[in-house]
Amino acid sequence: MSLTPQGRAALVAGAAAVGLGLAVGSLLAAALGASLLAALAWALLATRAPRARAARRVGASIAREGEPVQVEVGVESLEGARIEVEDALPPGLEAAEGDLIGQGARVGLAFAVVARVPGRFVFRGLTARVSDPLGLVERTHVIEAPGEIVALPRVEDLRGSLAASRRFLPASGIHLVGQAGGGSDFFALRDYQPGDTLRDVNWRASARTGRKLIVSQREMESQAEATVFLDARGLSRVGTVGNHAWADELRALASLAALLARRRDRPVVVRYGEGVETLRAAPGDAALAGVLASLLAREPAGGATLREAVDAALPRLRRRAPALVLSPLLDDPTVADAVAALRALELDVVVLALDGPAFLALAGEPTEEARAQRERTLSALRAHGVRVVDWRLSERLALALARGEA
Amino acid sequence: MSPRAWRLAALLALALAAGLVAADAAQRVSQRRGGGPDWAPAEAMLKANGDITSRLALGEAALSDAPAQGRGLVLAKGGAPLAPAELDALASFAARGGRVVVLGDPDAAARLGSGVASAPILLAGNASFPDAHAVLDPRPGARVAAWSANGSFVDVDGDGRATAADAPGPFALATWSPDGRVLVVGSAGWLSPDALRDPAGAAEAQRWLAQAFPPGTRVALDAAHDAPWPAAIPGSLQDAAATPQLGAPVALALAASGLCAALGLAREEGRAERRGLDAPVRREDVR
Repeated sequence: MSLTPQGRAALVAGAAAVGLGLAVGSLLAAALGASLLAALAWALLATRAPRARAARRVGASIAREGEPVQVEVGVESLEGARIEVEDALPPGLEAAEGDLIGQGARVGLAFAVVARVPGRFVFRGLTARVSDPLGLVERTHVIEAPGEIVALPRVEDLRGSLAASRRFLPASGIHLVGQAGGGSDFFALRDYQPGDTLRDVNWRASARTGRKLIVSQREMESQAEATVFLDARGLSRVGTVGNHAWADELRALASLAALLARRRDRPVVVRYGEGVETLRAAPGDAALAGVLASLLAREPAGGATLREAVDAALPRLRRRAPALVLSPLLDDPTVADAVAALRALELDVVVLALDGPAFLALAGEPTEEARAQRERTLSALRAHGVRVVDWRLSERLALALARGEA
Repeated sequence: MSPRAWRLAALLALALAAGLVAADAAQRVSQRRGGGPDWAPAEAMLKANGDITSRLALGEAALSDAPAQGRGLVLAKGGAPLAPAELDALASFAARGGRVVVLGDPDAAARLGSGVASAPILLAGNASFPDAHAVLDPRPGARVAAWSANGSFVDVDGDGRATAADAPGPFALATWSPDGRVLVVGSAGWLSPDALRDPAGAAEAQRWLAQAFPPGTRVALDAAHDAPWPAAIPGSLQDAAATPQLGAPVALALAASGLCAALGLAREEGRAERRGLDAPVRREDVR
């Protein structure tokens, strides 16, 4: 229970009127002050906490950031009392249309929300208020009305800069592994065995033998794994609610997924922050929707370093495989060592370096030391033969890729 | 009744209350300084007698060279004492045939040949004289218009009780000059609205005014020395009136709070804080 601004004004005015009325001997002022205080006391005693139930319906539980999602909330007062209901949006969601506040014994709210950043947005509850008729005292109560929206990162169309990206991004693509298996290129001939399809029968070779069927074997193809080291430390969220490195990392991953799929590189995401976690895309999930959903399920947190992530991934990394590091490079002194370890395996490493100091500046924090540290790190990376994409704040990824190539 | 109606009702009630308090404060201020005596009842009486009234400064009323015949002046004890030139003009006005009623002003009374005591009479016994002082006109032919009660006394020793040290009554409360053209009343509040609220006192005042100013007299009410009527109010309120007046600020505060309550100007202040997209996320927030 709390006093509203009007209630506080009445309290101050009432006390002042009583005090001054007594001081100057004005019975009228004292009586008026006393009546104000009495009204306040009545409001305090008579105003009860609201009791209500609510239900929420979310139009789409998964959406792309920037797409409006319709939300409907129904609230019913259990005592039939008039209540004021206000829904609270999780940070990062914005109301696009409709009203988040309603009044009455039965309240229906309908509004559209838009996610300005990728993320998992959980609606907690609504705030229900009851106030006395004069609006002096207010009681609030939170009514549970759960709901959730997962906003996938928006995908930047990189087709326009595909030529530059193709030259710049590391990729092995499909390569033959020297074994018989599924593929398209001829590998060897062998005798027909039960289970072979007629399509594989080499009729010309079979005719030459005259007595048995010969089938053509094809050489097995393999996709390269492109390992993406994703900085999911708590520092990735530094900036503002609507602009932080983690959001740009997710956008970059979603945008590059299509590019990697076109190259037939199989992306493997190594998330580091709260420990190290490896995420692989399900077969056919070229857009990495499953991986992105897993990434969005947890907020960035922790302080695991890139070196720890590389150490965890090293046992399964293949020589000359492509690797991509997505990080704002804040407060991680191990970046150069970690990349050196990757280079020791002759991995083709690209670092997509987000502008960490710029995000610090958005948060109102000093940036000089961070910027100097970043420059030292980038110099060390280039010295290791790593290609660095210096991705500036609010810059389109395609432009950063093209600039990096230049 | 809807909340809006409740708040509108609250606004009206508070505005009314604030207005009453403001009026109360204004009255107190008026009683303390400024505004001057309320001559309206006296004017009404004079008009009822067929006189022509106006409110003029003593200089305008008495210093002019116009013949004083057929003219009159009512002078009440004011906040500022009369200047010597004004006293001379007053004496000249009376000497030229003008008619004068002096209410409690010892200087004016003395200049006109009469006298008003400085110490008040206690238990005067006449409600028409709220601040009764003894009047003395030693001239032959002077007439006493009213007397105080037998038990009245002038509290010489200041103990509030009648003792042997005090001067015992009765005392003259008002006197007519020998020529009947000057009435000296030992009470500055004799014509105040409070004193005239008593019907007997009002009838007596009307009779005396009719006697002082024959019908058709052009009577000027002195507006230059415009102190309020002396206390015809209880002593406690008289004390309160002497303290700083705080009624107006209280009224303003109440009116402002009433407006706030009715219009709900600060309603948004109580809303839950909304976190905008531009809210910063600092290092300590994510650790």
